[in-house]
Amino acid sequence: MTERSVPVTEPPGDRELWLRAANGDRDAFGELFERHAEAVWNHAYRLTGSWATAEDLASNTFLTAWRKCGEMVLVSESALPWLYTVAGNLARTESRRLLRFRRAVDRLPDPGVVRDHADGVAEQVDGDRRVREVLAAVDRLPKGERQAVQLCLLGELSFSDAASALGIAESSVRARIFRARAKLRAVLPEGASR
Amino acid sequence: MSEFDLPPKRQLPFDVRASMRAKLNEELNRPRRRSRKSLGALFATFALLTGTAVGGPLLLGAGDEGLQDGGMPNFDAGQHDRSVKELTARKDVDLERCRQAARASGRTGTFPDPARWRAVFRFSSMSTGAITAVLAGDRPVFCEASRTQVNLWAADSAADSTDHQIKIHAVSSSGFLLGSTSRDSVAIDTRVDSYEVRGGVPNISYANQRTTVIEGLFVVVPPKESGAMTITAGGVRQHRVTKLGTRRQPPSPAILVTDQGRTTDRSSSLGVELGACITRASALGSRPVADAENWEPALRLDLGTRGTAVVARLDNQLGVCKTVGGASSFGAVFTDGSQRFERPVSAEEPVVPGSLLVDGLLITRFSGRVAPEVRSMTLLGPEGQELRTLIGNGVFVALPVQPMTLSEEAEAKRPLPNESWRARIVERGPNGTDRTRVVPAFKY
Repeated sequence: MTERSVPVTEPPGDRELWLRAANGDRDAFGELFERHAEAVWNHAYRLTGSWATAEDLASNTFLTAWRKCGEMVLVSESALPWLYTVAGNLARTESRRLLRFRRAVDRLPDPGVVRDHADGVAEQVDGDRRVREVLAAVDRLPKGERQAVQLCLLGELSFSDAASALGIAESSVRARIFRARAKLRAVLPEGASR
Repeated sequence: MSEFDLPPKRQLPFDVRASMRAKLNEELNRPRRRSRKSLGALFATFALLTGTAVGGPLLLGAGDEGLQDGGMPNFDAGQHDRSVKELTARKDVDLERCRQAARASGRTGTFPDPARWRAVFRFSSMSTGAITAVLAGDRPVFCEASRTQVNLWAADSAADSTDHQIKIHAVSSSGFLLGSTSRDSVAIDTRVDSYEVRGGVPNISYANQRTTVIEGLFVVVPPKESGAMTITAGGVRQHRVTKLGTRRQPPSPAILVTDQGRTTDRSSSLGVELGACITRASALGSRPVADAENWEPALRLDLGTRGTAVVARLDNQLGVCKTVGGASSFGAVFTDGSQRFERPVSAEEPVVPGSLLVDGLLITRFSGRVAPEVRSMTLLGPEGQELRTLIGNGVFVALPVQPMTLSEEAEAKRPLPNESWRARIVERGPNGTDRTRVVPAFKY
């Protein structure tokens, strides 16, 4: 009479949840959100250099995914590569707004003269600065290399997952990352790249 | 992200997660498909489930969002058919007992003529008994038959024949919602959203379940989680959402007939302990213990940090009452909904398996019933394991007892009993002497 989920079986994979969400199952998409919200939020930070902006970007990523999930089939086992790709596209789309935000952040005083006494705040501002330096360099990369860096180096996805998300061969991803690394080492300040 | 010496990843703060989830929920609650009807303004704020007299609908729909396009998500016609088949297979088992109880109650004016009763389905709950959903013309009657008693609730009329409107006619003694909706409905979805602060940390959670509807009648077993309950009735094309709110309703008055009472001896210390445990469980738990007076004590188990438990038996049914920190809870045998576990023991089958589960805690799967002639028993595993057992009042439990939740069990990948296990039993033979034999132990 009543069907209840009993936690004795393997939880459904992303692909199954995605399929259910595509058919209108809100709970399935809610489960995807609970599963990946933290990863997307962290990735969004690395795409924007701002935790506040990251929240908006991550939110918009999931809203976009919900609207679009009925139009596509998830091919990989994890929804994360696709979510990262959406986040990357949204970040570019909103680049003007993000640029204004970054300029505002740039006007913040150096960590040494921050009047907020909390160490955490100083660390955050310092972290934001490092992220912005990296992002500025990544933004200057050709589109293909930039996407590969966003997914593999910023998002820490595997080459195969990134290849799946970008719809290209894994060897192409490796090549793009190789070229991008060389360029980034040349332009990033010492200490910002290893 | 050591590649660029970036700040480490952070744990998503609760308030950020909640903020993101709120935005998402706002979007999720919008109709996503092209056609949409704006009928969301029908929010009424009725008092819910007022628990009044038998005969009238207790709920007219609080926060009814009205008819909406779109059928039940993930509706599986094959699964639905299987569920209907399962629910109707034994629908007439208690029907005559229900009719007799109605006649014996002396309240015949309350019910439609029992001779006209037609069983629609029988919902079996191992912990409380079975509820037979009955129609007499268009009047629903619900009959809950436990081992010793019958509870009856009757409604004046069923819900309207269209639009998936919901009427909750009664709340059973176990908190089950007994109701009706339109006959073209296929399912009721129940969702409980809760928000609570644990240890200073706010937490949002929800629980979902689906209930099959047959001829417009349903029995919903509400999730145990507390929170705001929403029920959705629907067919394959349309649905209607009804928000019940957070207040759980007390059981509705029922016409109670004790038709199969018996005398149970609880004079032993274990019997006294069992009685006290069941009383506490009935008083504090979300549902009263069915046939509370008739469970017999069998064994006492020390569960370590998880408290103590008294294993009980009522005819061929196993139960267990657990006490920890002064609070008690009672659970009947966990049988995955199968009635096969209640088959009687016999000389040919002196051991019948049955797990012990209470309040989400799996006490053990290595347990069951044994014939009264069995004096001692050792379980023999397929890999040479030998487990000693405790035996009392026709119940056995293998040692050691290592209780764990179902989740913990799944993670631990603990081996499950299967039909390769045997039992070496010592039993008293017909001539009064003991004899030993090896028999199947876990025949499912």
